[in-house]
Amino acid sequence: MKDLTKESFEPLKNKDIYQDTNSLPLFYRQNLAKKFKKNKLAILSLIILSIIIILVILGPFFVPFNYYEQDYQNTNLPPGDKGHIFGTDSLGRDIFSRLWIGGRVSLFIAIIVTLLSMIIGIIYGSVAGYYGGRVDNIMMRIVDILLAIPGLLINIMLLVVLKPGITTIIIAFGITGWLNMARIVRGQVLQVKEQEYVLAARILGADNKRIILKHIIPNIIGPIIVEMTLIIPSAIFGEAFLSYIGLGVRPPMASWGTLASEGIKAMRFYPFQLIIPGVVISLTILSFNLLGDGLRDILDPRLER
Amino acid sequence: MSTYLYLNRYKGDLIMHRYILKRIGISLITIWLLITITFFLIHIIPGEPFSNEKKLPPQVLDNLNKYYGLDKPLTIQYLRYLGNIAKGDLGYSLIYKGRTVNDIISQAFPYSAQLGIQSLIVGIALGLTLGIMAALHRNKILDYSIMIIAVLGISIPNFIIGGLLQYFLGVKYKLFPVAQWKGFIYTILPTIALGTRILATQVRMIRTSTLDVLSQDYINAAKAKGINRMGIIFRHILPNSILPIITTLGPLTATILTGTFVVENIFAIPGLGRYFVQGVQDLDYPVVMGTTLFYGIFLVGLNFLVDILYFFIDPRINANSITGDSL
Repeated sequence: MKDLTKESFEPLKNKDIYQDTNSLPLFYRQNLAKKFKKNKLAILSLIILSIIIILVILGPFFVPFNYYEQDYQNTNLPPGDKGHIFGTDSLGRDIFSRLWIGGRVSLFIAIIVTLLSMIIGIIYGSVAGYYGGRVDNIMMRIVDILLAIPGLLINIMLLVVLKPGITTIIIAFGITGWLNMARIVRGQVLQVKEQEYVLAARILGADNKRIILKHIIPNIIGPIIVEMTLIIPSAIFGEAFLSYIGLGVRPPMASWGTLASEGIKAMRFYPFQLIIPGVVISLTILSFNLLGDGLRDILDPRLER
Repeated sequence: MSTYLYLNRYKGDLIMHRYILKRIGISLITIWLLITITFFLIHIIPGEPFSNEKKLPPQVLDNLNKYYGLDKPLTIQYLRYLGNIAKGDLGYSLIYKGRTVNDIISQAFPYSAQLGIQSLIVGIALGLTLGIMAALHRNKILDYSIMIIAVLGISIPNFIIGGLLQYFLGVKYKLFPVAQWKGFIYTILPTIALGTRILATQVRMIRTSTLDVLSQDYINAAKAKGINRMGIIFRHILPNSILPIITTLGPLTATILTGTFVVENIFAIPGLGRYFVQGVQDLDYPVVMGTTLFYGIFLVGLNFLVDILYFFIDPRINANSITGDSL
């Protein structure tokens, strides 16, 4: 038998032994796809979202009007009149093109905020969870304290003080959006880091960064995706809310929130101006929520009974 | 045996005291952080406070700055600000001449509180009923329809619900007054607009917690004893399903607060939310910051109370479960 020296128990130095083992096994992926196909509501919401996203990208090209040109001869036209599919607003601007341009702004904000929250949340949460002990204690206490301050109040204050606009809205939401993600990631990391494959990777000489990136995060991607699909609707919701109270994007730029708040002003005589953006906003948030629920059912094994 | 029990209880008391102290500490740090953030945000704003007024002679400007303590270094101003807030003084409004922020809050908050409490009661009562019904008819049509209502309620922003209610029930069919706040009938539409979201979040949670309760042994025991269905629902399911509502009381109140910002504007209710939004639009910084602090402290205090309350109400939460990382 080979002599065991102290060096035998040192982690290997040579990283080339390592093979890429982090892709999900085929049967697991097929299983997920099968489960997803069974979830009709999730499929339906995915279809609705695709339609909305296509319209947001291509919609403005379908009509000969742009979103900012005012036409005082043709204000408050009802839907379908004079080629305006959704009519015009109180300044004679085409609501159809404003709706999809506004969608670009709203969805852009939502997606960037979600990515930002995801990146910060994953880094923060996995560092706290992985290193544990005092680091974890201090980092999570900070999150607890930040979570105790109502996020929307902070967002409003920031927007009042800083110049309103897309960037400011993204910064304001980004500051508060990652907190929940960090908590979720940290909880998951705490569970996963005790698994044998993490130990195996460490014995093979993987450093902390590699273990976190290649072994831990791929294994907790389910809850992260679910949380992401829930941040998107809350960001759309939040943007609409801020626009409603006058802290959204500045005219002539439009967002779904500004359209709805203009709609409420005109509602008494032209209810379609509220109903059209209202339906699109609600449908989008609804679809993301349903998609998130569906993904949770599929990706969270603890829910299986 | 009895010594052991005594010791155990003593240990529990000790842990509970430590828990309460820790909670007080965290709440105070949160409030201090909130105050500090508001203070420094005010001072990020470019420009001098009196630069908007018509051209003032430099002497007058100096006197004004002196009067408001703006000639002092920032640290002194910060300490004064802390001191004023400790005394409960939130300063003067810039728009409503001569009115203090305290004055505005004490006059407007009762309207918001009434609206909030009404929608909280309606939302929780309906949410509880629907949630338990959904759980009892799990995976049947009733369950699905209730869950559709719930997910719709979460997905439709309350200014759209409010606007549509106002148009259809107020303008078109004239069932309710369109706006203003002059009696109970005026409160109905705003309460629905605000309560829908509460109802929707509650239904989902109550359904989950009731499903959990239904799988417990004591429900089987109650059934085996021959207690009828209503008895089981009211005596065994209801009290246990209510518990999780208490933990969500904090976030729920935050939802209501931001809801009042919108609903009070749509329905022209003279509550604090309306002043807040007006303040945001007029850049009335003292009102915005004062209201933010007021609401922030209110929420932090409420969360603190909820945590302590939960400890006393649910006997299953023992000392062990709170000393861990669930804190």
